[in-house]
Amino acid sequence: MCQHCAHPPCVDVCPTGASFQRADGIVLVDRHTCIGCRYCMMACPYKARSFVHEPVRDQRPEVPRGRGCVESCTLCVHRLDRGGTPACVEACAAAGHQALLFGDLNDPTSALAQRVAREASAPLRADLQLAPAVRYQGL
Amino acid sequence: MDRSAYARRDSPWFWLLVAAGALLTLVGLLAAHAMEVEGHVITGMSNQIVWGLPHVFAIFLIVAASGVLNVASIGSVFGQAAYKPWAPLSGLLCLALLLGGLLVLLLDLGRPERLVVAATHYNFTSVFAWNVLLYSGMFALVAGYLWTLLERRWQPYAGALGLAAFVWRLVLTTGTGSIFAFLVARSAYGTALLAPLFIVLSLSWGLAVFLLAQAALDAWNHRPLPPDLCRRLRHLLGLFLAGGLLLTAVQHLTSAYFARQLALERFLLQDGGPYPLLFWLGYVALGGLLPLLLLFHPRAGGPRALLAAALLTLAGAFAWLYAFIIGGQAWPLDIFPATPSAAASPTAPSPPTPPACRNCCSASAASAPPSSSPSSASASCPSCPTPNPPPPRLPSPPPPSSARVRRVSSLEAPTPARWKG
Repeated sequence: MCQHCAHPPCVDVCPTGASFQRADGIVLVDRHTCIGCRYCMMACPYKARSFVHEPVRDQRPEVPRGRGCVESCTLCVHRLDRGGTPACVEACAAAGHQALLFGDLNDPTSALAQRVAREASAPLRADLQLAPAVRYQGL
Repeated sequence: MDRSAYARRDSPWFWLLVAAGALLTLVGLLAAHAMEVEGHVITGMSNQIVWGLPHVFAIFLIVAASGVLNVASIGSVFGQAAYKPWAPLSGLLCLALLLGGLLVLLLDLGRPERLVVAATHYNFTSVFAWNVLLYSGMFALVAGYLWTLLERRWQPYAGALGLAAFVWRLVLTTGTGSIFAFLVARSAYGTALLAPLFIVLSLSWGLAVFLLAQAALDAWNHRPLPPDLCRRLRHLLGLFLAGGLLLTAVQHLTSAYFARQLALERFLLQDGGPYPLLFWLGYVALGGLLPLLLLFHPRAGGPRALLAAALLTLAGAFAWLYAFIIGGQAWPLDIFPATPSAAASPTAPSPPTPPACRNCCSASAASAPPSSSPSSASASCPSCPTPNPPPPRLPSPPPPSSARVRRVSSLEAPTPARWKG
């Protein structure tokens, strides 16, 4: 899964700037300027990016995909922009597992920030100092 | 030169050669077309092996394009008059190899029709973007240099352009090595040694290509290299081969010096199946030591030994590139560094219990890691023919209190189970 790094190597290496980071930290791929060079796939230490091999049919306008382009988890940015949460978080909560928590790390009053302050958590490959936005417990 | 030699162009052999070249080009284009129609998946590409055989050829052609300019550079930059008659051939081969490498790279893109996007959108933190400029600049510079070599009125500028092309090709090869050197994710790369290594390798590969092309022209036009030049080129090829072997050894020793890299080096040099075989037998033995023997053994000298050494150098180049590019990617990414030791520990917790399938209440395929994508939430159960229904939609929670979310994150809750990645 894309860890939405604060210093994303995929954004650094993308020759056309198709990999980009929004102001809120979410890392996305612009389907219209991705040339499919896959350098971002080489650069991502989390193996989080995938190449679209097959033609894509019945597309949903809020999550466009493109054959020959690279894609990754968008953190359901179309839902976030409408005030929602990522689909995986919602599905996990609906199943009663409560394994995923989503929120704003920079907001000290958020449940997520308080949980991170209270309990130990770790990002993946902390040694690379990419400051991933996803934290894990129990690794 | 005997002008009657050119009459050979009309012979059937000439047209046979042209037909063979056209057939080879056609096969290449058909292969590219098949890849575009069927998808890159037919090349064996996966999320692990991202760059494959097309990159082996593309990088060989580009790196050799830099090195094949050796002969012209020695003539123009270092003032060795004996090399100057072969400088145009050197420049022409450079352009041909560079064009071939760029075409392979272009056709391997997921969206090759977006070439104009690559040419108009530059992200200057990307080594790839630098290389787009370096390759196109090299092409323009060598084309200009070739013009000065062939057009008498422009010959006063040949020295300046030759020097510029010499510097540019060193930067270009540095840039090509840096494509890999700047990758922090892949343990097999990510070392600044790759830049000088690529420069030295380019010198031997390019010189080998030049020697083979010159031999073909010699057979065609009866225009052999003078014995003195042959001797110099033989020494040069040997020097470059030895330099490549030395830097390759330094690269692997440097990597192996770090304890965390030992397993990788064991994979690349000992346990990795075809990759160690290609490295030791293909590159070191056949592509390095045997050519050195052919070049420097007192009883093995001569033009045939030089040609054999050039051919072996090229075979070694492909073996090294395959082991470097594909073998380097085959080594798995270390995403969960702590997981293997935890799993090996006797106190390690039991594997995760898969959640129940909503259709048949048995273990389901939805037992994805905590970082699973949203699609896994509705994955099918292996023991159940019907896919899981999508999760019920819940009302969206209220937006965050801050007006603008600056950073978002998710957190996995404490769980006794661990995912063994």
